Amino acid sequence: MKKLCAISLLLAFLLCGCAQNAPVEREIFAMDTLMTLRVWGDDDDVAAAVSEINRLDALLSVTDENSEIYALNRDGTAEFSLDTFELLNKAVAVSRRTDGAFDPTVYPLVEIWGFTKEEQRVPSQGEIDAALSRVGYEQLERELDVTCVSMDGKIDLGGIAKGYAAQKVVELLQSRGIETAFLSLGGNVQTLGSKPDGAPWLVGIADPSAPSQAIACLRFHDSLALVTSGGYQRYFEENGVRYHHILDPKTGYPADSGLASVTVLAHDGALADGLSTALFVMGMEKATALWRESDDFEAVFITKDGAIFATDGAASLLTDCECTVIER
Amino acid sequence: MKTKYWILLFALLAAACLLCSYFLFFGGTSGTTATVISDGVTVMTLDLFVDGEYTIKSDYGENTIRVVDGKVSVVSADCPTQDCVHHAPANSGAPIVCLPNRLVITFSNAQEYDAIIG
Repeated sequence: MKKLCAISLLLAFLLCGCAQNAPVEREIFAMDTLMTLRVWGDDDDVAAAVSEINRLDALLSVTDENSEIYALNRDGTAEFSLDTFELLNKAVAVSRRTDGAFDPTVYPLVEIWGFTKEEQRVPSQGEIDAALSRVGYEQLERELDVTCVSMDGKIDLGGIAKGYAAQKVVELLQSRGIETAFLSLGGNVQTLGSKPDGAPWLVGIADPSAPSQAIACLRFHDSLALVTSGGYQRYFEENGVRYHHILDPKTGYPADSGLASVTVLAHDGALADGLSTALFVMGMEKATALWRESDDFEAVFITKDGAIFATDGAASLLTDCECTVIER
Repeated sequence: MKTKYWILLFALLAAACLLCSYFLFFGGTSGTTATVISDGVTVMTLDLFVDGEYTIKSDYGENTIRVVDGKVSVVSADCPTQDCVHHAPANSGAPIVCLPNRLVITFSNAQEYDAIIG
């Protein structure tokens, strides 16, 4: 009888082990996107992650009238919390590294193109010139010595906030003792640790010509942030011409660099997010030059004609596709 | 007696394995359905072999979904961005999402990847 009990206990233990390998999954709408959280923990851990995302969204949203960013854009001055201040500094750092290809002060341009509003339209050259005169990360950089900022321009952190949020959520989960999580915040993925069963994370890169399908697969273990920026993600058409939402802060028009999408891999979520926009604007040649002088990111480029190029670190993770490897 | 327990253990483990196999092979889905989720609630499971048109209404807005030739598309939406309408007809891969109306269409065979980014 004792042995029978032992066997039952053994089986119960094995089955419990199986149950613990299943993550708690939650889908939420936040930061103007659909987010999926998979946490190998309990409901409280997921609830804490959701609270953290909502807290950051309330600080960083460009459309929420109670956010710190909204206050700056409305009043020209605002006192920032440490999180907003930290992210603004990260954003300016990416701007500096990319010679303004990513620029958090791009909001006057976003406004006239209508990408935050219901009506999207092609603005006149006069409107674009007027907006361009208010764009430039240097004015923000000068103000960032203190947490109280005054400036003439307007800020939009939409190109970096989701990556920052993913990073902060991962840090929060780690502080709660969580070893494994998979966060998909819109086009941003951030992993924490490896799957308990030892299987790799499989992240598909959307095919720009058929975005619901993957054109390539990144296969890896451990913690990583991956962010894709693509002109196919949000756009409108006017007189038969397609205008996408990634604006070049130098020209004021949608970036036209020959790329359909850029995926950046990095350990820092905010860096991956900001760089994905920047590299898309810069085009492959300048982006590759930046990669050669850096050691904190890798990238996958998909050109408008569907060819895939990958930096050597990214190429080593790519499967299910043919790609040209960019050597350092 | 010892042998009896070993037989019992083996039988139980075999049964557990069979159960696991069943869920692994049949517990997932066949890749022929799509799930329509409105504001976090599953409102419909679409059989992609059956053509049809459906209107989903919520507090956030209205979307019309069409199933033709084994693929789903959103043919109209009262949302400002129209991202979901721009989405090509699909039967697999990343979900079709209408953010303003909080509508998500997921595919049963999307499990190959942990996520598709883009």
